[in-house]
Amino acid sequence: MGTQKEKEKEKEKDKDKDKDKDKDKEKENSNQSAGGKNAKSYGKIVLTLQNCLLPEEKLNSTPSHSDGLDTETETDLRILGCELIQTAGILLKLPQVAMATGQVIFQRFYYSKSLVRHNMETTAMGCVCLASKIEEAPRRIRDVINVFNHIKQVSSQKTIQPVILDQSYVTLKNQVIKAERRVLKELGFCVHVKHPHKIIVMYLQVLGYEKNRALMQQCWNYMNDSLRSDVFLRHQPETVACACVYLGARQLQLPLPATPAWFRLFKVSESSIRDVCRRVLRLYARPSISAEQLEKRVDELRRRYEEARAKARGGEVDGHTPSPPLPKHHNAWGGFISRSGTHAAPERAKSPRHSRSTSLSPSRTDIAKHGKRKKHSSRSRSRSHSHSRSRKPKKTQRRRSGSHKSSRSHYRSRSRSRDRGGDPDKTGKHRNKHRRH
Amino acid sequence: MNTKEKEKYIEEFDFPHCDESTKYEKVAKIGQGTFGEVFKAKEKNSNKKFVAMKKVLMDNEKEGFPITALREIKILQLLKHENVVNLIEICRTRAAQYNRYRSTFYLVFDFCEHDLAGLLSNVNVKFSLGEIKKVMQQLLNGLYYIHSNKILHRDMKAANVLITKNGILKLADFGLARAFSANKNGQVNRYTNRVVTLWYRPPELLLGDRNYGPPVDLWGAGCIMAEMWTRSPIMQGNTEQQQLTLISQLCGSVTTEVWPGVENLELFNKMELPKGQKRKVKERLKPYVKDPFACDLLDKLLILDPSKRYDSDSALNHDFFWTDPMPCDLSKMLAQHTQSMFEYLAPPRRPGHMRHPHHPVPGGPAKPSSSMADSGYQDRVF
Repeated sequence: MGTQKEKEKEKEKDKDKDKDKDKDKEKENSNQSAGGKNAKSYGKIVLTLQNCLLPEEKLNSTPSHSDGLDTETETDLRILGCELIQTAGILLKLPQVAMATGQVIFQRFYYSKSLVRHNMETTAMGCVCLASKIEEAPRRIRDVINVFNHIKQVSSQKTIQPVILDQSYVTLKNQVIKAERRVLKELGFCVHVKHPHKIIVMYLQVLGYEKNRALMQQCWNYMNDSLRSDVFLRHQPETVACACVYLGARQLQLPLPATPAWFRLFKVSESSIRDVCRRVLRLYARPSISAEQLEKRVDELRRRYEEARAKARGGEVDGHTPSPPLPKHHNAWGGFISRSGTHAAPERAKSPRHSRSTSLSPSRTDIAKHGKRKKHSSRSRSRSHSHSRSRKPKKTQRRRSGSHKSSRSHYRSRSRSRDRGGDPDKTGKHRNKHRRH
Repeated sequence: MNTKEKEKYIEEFDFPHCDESTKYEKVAKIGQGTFGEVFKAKEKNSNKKFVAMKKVLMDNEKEGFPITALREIKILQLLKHENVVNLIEICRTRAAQYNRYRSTFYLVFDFCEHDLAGLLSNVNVKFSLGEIKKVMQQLLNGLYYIHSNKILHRDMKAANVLITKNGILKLADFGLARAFSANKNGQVNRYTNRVVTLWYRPPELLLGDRNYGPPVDLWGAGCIMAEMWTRSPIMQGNTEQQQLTLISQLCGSVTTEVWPGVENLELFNKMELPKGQKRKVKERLKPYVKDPFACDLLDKLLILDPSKRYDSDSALNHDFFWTDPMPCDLSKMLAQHTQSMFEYLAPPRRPGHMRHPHHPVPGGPAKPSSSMADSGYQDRVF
């Protein structure tokens, strides 16, 4: 098969690369010992608290890309992952800074590893766990799994069920632990992120707008939304801060000093501000995604990848860590889409989608359980309402109205629609309210 | 960072990564504690440079990568100072079947030849007054630096003070360190008080304070300073209660007169505090510490009330460091000793003595104390 050959070729290439690297290192070292002066250089390790910026070619040719994932699908997957982290963070009552860190390291990670080979949702969970520790608000892995499970059920209109403590839970937990380590390893422990929130406050103070809460909130909204794009891998937090101020002020039609241009005070160029703005605004213009298609795409690629690897393995044993087998109920999408009947479908066959899912035999639900669920389903639904915060009346209302057009989560469409009309400020506010303090 | 700097940065950018630990070759084990193991190792390439590798303990880690290790790494990345141990990189072993596909991480440090506990336990190592001054000056310099970066060490003890063969002192083991913040708008901090090795633990922690700050490290500095002459830890209690008794016997009774506000500490009424004890720091240390300035500085560091205890800045300004003999270089003295001296490798100082008394790792993997889990203690730190 062509793919297999390609894979092999790639492997060889990688080997060659490694060799080259080693050679380079040796060269470096011999240079040093010859020079004798600078004994302190350890290959190319960067230990830094600074934000990592990636060069253009790294941003364009990602590992997922070389596994055959097209740019659009990858972008969508990244956005979805970030949204998961954000939503999970809200439900876990994490400080916003933890969600921000989680999203940035999630983005960074997938510039080093492929979305095809490393399950997006598990990595997102690992990032939440890790970020909660980094930002000194640790959460238990168990809670993270529960919350992800909850989001999944809410977004697919399922009855809210607690996670069952079975073997697949244990497997999943172990995978999350491994995902967390993998992120640390891949990022060389450079997992501390400098966020622009404080910088925005400072800049607005300088600009004399510190009392304008609406502007401040608007800027922060843009800032929090920008985490879904790759601007944090392209620009320094100061630049992102300027862009958010720019966007916020424009939205509220507030003047900023033009001569000399205000951003020059912060040593940021106009072109980079524009670049950030464009990338952030592009988020709102993206069409909604067919999650099913995304899933199919990744599934297919993963299957192909695994086949190729199984064949390549035939004789030689490579040292590559095998990606752990996924638990059965856990599809590439982490079961985000209500497809298979791993969770019993609600008894009210409201939409054709649901009735379809009942026809599939659930992998680990027996009929007795099913019946039981029927009884409680209405109660557990209302429980889901109490779960959502009282601060967010809009969301609850929407959910109650039951107008689920797409299978995509409400969290998602809500954030998307933010700038395309409606009342962006309000939407943003209740989403971001608790972060202000 | 301006555009040019950014361009340069990107040009030289390399995705951060973890190297494999096989690039180093373990030479000897030089430390062991609840935190894990420390090895001396040699770089395999032509540099042949020595490093110290500290294993990140991960067995029993049910919540993934330990937050304490993350803190240590972040703190060490932040702190770059002559008197703070330098973190070179983080390495990992390859994940393979034998370790159930879980790799081990190592923190790799510049190698230091000695630790202070090891040096002090060797009778052949003799410090002159000037050399003691140099040790203390560097120690306080290090503390000044970390405290001004808003970091608490929380495990000051002689074994955590490293000294290179060139006589440069380095504060090490930030496994219990954390960032601290000043109390703002009356909000008090709630840090865990189960930190610092018992013999070096200050009275406020023994009395259950959870809103402490840099003075906890200065108490340890005082204990270490006295140890420079006594050669063994000055207060070797076996229990918290005994430690408090020993402190009272040296520094006088803990009363509201010498320490206003002490009555508000959680354990003030629960611990048995010896009454009527006179403060006799100078008196008891004089037989060892002949220098009057040294005695005076010790007296200022071993003050019960943390708010009156000297901070590192005022300690550095003390006459002790500015009178003859002035602080002098240690390298000449250390050149006479070719063998590394670590507490771990040294013979027990006194038979029957525990070498690692009550090293506190609350919530740590070793033995999560049940009292913490039960009392709804929200400080998950560890």
